[in-house]
Amino acid sequence: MSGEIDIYGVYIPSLLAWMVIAFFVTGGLRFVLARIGFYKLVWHRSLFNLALYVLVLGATVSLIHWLKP
Amino acid sequence: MHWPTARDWLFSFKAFFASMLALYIALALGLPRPYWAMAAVYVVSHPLTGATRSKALYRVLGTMLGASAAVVLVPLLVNAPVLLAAAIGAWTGTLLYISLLDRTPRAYVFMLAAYTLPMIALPAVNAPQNVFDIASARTQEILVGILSASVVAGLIFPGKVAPVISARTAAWLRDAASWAADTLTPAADQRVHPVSRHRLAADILALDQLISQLAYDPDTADTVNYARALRGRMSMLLPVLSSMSGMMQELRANNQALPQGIDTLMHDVTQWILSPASRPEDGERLKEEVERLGQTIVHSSEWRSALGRTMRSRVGTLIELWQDCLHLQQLLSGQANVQPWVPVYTRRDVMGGARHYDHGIMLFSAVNASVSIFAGCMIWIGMGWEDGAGAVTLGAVASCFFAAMDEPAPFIRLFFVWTIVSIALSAVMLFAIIPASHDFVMLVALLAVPFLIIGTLIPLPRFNMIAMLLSVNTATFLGLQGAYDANFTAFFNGNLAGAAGALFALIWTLVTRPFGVQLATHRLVHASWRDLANTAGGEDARDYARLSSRMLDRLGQLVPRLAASGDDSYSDGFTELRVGYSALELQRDELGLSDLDRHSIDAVLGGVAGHYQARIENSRHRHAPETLRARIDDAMSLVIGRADHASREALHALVELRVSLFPGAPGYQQVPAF
Repeated sequence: MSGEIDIYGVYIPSLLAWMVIAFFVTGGLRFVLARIGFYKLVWHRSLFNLALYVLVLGATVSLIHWLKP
Repeated sequence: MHWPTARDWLFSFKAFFASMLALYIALALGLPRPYWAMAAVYVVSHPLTGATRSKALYRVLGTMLGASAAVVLVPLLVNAPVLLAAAIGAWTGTLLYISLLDRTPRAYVFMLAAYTLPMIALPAVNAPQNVFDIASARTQEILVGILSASVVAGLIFPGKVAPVISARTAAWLRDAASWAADTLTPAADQRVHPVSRHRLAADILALDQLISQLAYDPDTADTVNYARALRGRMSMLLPVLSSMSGMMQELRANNQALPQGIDTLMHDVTQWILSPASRPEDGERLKEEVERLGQTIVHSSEWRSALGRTMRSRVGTLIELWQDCLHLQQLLSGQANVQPWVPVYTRRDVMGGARHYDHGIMLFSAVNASVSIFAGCMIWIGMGWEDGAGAVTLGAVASCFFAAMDEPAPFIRLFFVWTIVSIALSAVMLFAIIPASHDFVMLVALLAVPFLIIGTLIPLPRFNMIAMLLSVNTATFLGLQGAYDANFTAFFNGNLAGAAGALFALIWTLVTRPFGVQLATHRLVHASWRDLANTAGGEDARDYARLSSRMLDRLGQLVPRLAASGDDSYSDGFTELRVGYSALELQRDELGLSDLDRHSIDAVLGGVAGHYQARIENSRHRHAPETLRARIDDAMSLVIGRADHASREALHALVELRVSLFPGAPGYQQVPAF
């Protein structure tokens, strides 16, 4: 598990890639949660979204490590 | 001078906290220019969270676009400086033009892309191999700054847009109510000073900005739809009220009494509109009253009776619009147990999104900006000044920022003056204060004093721009980096170049744009005459919503300019709007009329088209010709005695047209039929 990903000679930190992936996953989750009306139960929407993002990012990184130990 | 409130202090603390967070992260990541991250926070900070987020998203996209262009262009053209300068100028001008075409926050993408290219490309010309690193570093710095700003704005006491909109629309409706009351029952409500109806039109345009930011609020989509629907109805109220006030003046001329029944109705409607506790449902009772009145107005062939009938129909429209406005206002302000939204007023599509653009002036601004950048580059190449890149960059930023203004020169002057102040401020800090700091905490403590004070001024409309310039420029000029290596010569060379660039932009603008508000006003009025001539001449596709929304948009743009120049000898803006609506009505209702009627109405429309054509050719030509009035009267005599729907609508439109074009003219007399 190296710390960088090679895209045609441009090296980007792998964490950045995981962050981008997690961002899109969170976006999808937020859309679903908004559609089922979950946010009516949330006190501080932005705080909830940030926490959700951190959880998703953690899950993404764990998943990658589990797939490619 | 009023002191900053607790809310302003809160905003200032949030902005400062976000900027220090951005600086810390950028330093920790070892980015080459951490101060750009800090400055980016101040660029996007806005008391409303939605505004910060929309700006933030678009700033990232715009920066990426501009940075990519720099990476492509510089290696290609670095050996041909003149070509590179031309390419940069062309890019900036083109993107600036695109950003002027868009009046939503999205315009920010193109604005950023426009000036990011010179910002990255120009410093890289001496070392083109580094252009990718510079571009990538700037994108990352902006990204760090913007993420900090959005996260802090969203997490700590977010400022929601919805309550602001709801407060604005409530205030607007109160103003409109006082105008309506003043129109329907003059002297009924002398306590409230009737607000200038021009301000109502300008306020609608200001509301558009807020509504487009609402979409970025952490709120539901319903609110945006309600706000848009309300905005559409608000803009529909203006021509209706303006036309009613014209008809009322005719009815009350020479202190005559109103036709029977109208007086009571007016009084009741005024009461309902003025009372703060009124509910939309109460409108139904008033509409029944309007219906009853319709049966009592005799179909006599008198001018005053025709006026009365038209007035009655327009009161019905006003009631429906007002019901909708009240209902939407309740939904927006989040009142409990409100009925679900069902529009009452359905006669017209009010949601037309057409806008009026003055392509000539926009094109001129954009081309002017590109030529000025090209000229700046040529001067820089000619002088061989090492720090010239900074000058051209800041000149480009100044021209882009204020390109949308009618008269950018005063703003660029402010920009120049406050750039100098920022240099002085950052010099004092950099050489006298910051050397005392040994670690990040100490640095934050030292920066806090000036930045917190400047930050409190950002929410105040009067100081917004000055405070913005001070905070962003000071953060940039300080050039905080990982190691303290302030070098007096380098500092002054680099930053004086920036000031020189702003000065160059100022001189360039003064020379190339000596005209301003006057020209814009003139062109707006002429554009509306052209539209009217085309509409009445039947050349335009009969797309009611598009035309009417374009006319309303033009009115909204015209109004602040009329106020600024204080010259309404051309037009008060409302007359054209009313004539346009009447012409559109006549074209709609032609369909159900007989050939004879259609012929006479076509004559009227032809006369209107001819009148405005004449005004375009000679703007001093003010009064509509008597022949047109004769044509209107002819057409009226055909439809006045009939009771079918099309004839009634046509009569109302003709009456309104006559009132708009010939205020105070002797009343219509039925031509005795021999």
